[in-house]
Amino acid sequence: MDIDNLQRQAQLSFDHAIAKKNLQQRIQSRLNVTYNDGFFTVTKEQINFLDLLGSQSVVLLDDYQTPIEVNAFELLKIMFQRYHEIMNEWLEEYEQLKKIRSAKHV
Amino acid sequence: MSNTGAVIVANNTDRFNYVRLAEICAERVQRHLKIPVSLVTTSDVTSTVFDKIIIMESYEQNQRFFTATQEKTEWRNMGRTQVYDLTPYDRTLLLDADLFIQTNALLNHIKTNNDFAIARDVYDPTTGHIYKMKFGKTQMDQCWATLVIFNKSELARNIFDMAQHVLNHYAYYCRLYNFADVPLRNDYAFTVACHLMGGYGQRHFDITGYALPNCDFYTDILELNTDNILIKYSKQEKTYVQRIKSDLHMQNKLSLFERINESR
Repeated sequence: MDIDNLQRQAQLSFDHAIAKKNLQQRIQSRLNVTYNDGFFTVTKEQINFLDLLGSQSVVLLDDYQTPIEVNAFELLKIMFQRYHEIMNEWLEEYEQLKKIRSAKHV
Repeated sequence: MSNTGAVIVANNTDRFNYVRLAEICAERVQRHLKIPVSLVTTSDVTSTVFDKIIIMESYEQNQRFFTATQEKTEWRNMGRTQVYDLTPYDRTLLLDADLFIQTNALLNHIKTNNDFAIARDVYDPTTGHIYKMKFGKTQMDQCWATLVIFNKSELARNIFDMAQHVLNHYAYYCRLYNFADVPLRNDYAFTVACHLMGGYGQRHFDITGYALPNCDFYTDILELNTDNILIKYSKQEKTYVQRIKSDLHMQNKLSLFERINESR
């Protein structure tokens, strides 16, 4: 690498706060499930609500405002699994992100 | 998913090989979303990447001005409104060749069954902000024809037909909605179509929970890798880098094609 390139490389910066937001955005865009053709974002509130319903069959509005008949227990299981999978991935990537100290490590 | 697939519209210009860009895009869609990808083009193409290559009739070229470099280039962006008729799939993911799919975030949106959804929220990976691009002097929220998911359905047909109608009478709609009349933009045609078909803005057709990650004309690409893109941008006289692992729409075609040409 010539001196101009080295100098340019040295002048590059890395913004940790933005990288954290990018990671959050990427992870949250995948925190959702489909059930009976409906689309549901996985939230702590939704998980709690489904837990309250037990094994009842119930009609929920999905994110596209379409009423979808769901088995609460089944959907809870799917949401819980997705929640764990995505949040663990988030933690793992967050730990890697913390190790980046400068632009050359990006 | 029965008969679901993606469609990319790409036409080569004298300067840019959009079909090569579409191939790169298609490989990523196949890898992350596991659906077939068809190409709609006016160019003479031989490629093994695509499920189907659909030839459409040639049309008048458009022009685009790159503010960052003060350059004017040929832009063959029309034909998007014909995709409703040309798609070989019952459920179609319509995307731009410069939208790099790097996650499976769109997978659940494809699996649902709503008849028409289009990107409206945008995420800027250089600021970390979600925003809505405003459209003309009406300050309506702009829809992005960069990313559309639709079923063969009456609603989708009506929106595509209306978008074509807007393009056919572009000067009239420019005055009515008060937006710039050049270049002809699919985004604007679909924004007006969605506004009209949604009862003058009473109903929106957003892809919910998905903000389209978008880099503007001033963001450069340093590396175009298989699963991530290294971008460079300036802010307050400093130059930053970020490695983007989410989906990404790159507006800076000059930088994008520089990297593609290097990698050949």
